[in-house]
Amino acid sequence: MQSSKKTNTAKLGIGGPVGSGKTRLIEVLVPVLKKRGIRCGIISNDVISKEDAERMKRTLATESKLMPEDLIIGIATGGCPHTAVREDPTINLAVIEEIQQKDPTLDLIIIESGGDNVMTTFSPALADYFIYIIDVSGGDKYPRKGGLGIQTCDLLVINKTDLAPHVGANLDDMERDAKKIRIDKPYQFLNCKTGEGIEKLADRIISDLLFDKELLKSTVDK
Amino acid sequence: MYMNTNHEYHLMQLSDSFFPSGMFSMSSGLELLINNKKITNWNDVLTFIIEQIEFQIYPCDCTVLSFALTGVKNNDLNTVVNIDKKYYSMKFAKEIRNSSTRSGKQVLNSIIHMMENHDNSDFLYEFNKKIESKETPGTYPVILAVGAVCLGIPLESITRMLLYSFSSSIVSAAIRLGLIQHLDAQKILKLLAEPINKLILTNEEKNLEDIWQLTPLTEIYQMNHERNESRMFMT
Repeated sequence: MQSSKKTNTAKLGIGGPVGSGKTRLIEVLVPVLKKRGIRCGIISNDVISKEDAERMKRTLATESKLMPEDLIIGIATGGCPHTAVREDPTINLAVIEEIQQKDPTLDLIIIESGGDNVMTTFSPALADYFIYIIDVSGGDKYPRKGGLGIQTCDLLVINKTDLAPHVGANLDDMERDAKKIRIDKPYQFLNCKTGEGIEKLADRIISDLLFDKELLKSTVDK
Repeated sequence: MYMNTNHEYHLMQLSDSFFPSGMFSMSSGLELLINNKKITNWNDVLTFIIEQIEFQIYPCDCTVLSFALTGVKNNDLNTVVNIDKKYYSMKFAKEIRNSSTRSGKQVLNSIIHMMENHDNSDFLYEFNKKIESKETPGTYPVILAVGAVCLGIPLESITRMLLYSFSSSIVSAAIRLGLIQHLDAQKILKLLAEPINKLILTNEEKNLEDIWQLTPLTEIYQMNHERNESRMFMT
């Protein structure tokens, strides 16, 4: 994007149930954003271990060299991932400060948090934009059940659409329920395995969080 | 610094687990001690807390808190910075040091936010500048001293709070690690009241050189815990 010193890096929160594809989403999103000149740092809040952070260090830093390894930081949350991103986000805020000190020119810091099925939300002090991700294998009832995460997030992402026929999930029902429960708020289907929908997701982040219309796909591809 | 008619209110505010300090992510080595079957029941948890308090938290953290509080009251920035550096240098495990400074800075941010528009809060801002310019690390007990003076909390109360918060964070970790249940946790905290009170009331004269700690086995476990692939807690 630009290399001038920034004081306020945009912060994107990604929350969702364990196994919904949060880490995979980051792995496919970061290269798309990088192509458009957007440089990211990543914080991964894990319920147990730093496995997700270690995996992203390997895939995004060591193997693809898309970003320096020290801009991917894992946080052990003492079994309280919700607390770490909502009631007491101080560890995450401290790590954000550390990342910003390492590279004040970053465009975006992605904060990933695993946790429960539907109640995850991010403190507004921590995330400027909040994506809640679910997947079809959890059952097509998910959007209908609602909950804070599903209802209040800035963007609801429904992942693993390719698995729908195998797990008996009806995508039309999921779309109908998502529309109903989120009223005017956006949702979108995604398949992180094939990358289907990822460019559209990047566009949303760029327009709704980074407010940079010049980096939208239609403009970049010209 | 801040005219306050009831310091107990702010004492409860600071000691509440709801107060944003990041303490919920720390077990101070307890996780690995439990995993390695060195601590196996509620009585072991009680003994662990008493030993940590007697050989580390009271002689080191509480003494640092005491000297820092006097320094803040005297508006002596250099002394407080020196105490802060001394405390930081005494913590051998990297994640214990990191957790202390991360918590310290974030607690300071909260206190600055709380004390906005109050007179005589210059020390807060001056100390914050020292942390941001990396002239001082900003450790938790030193920041707690700064907060105590701002909120009118006396030394004895804030010392008791530090010891209670430490004890509470350990029993909370023991519950989350599945070793004890909620009733045992309250029993442990009740049993800790007397030894903690006894320590506080000893009120012995101290010099800066008297700061000490001796918990080598726990520190070895804390350092090993840092390298553990699978863990719930930062420390």
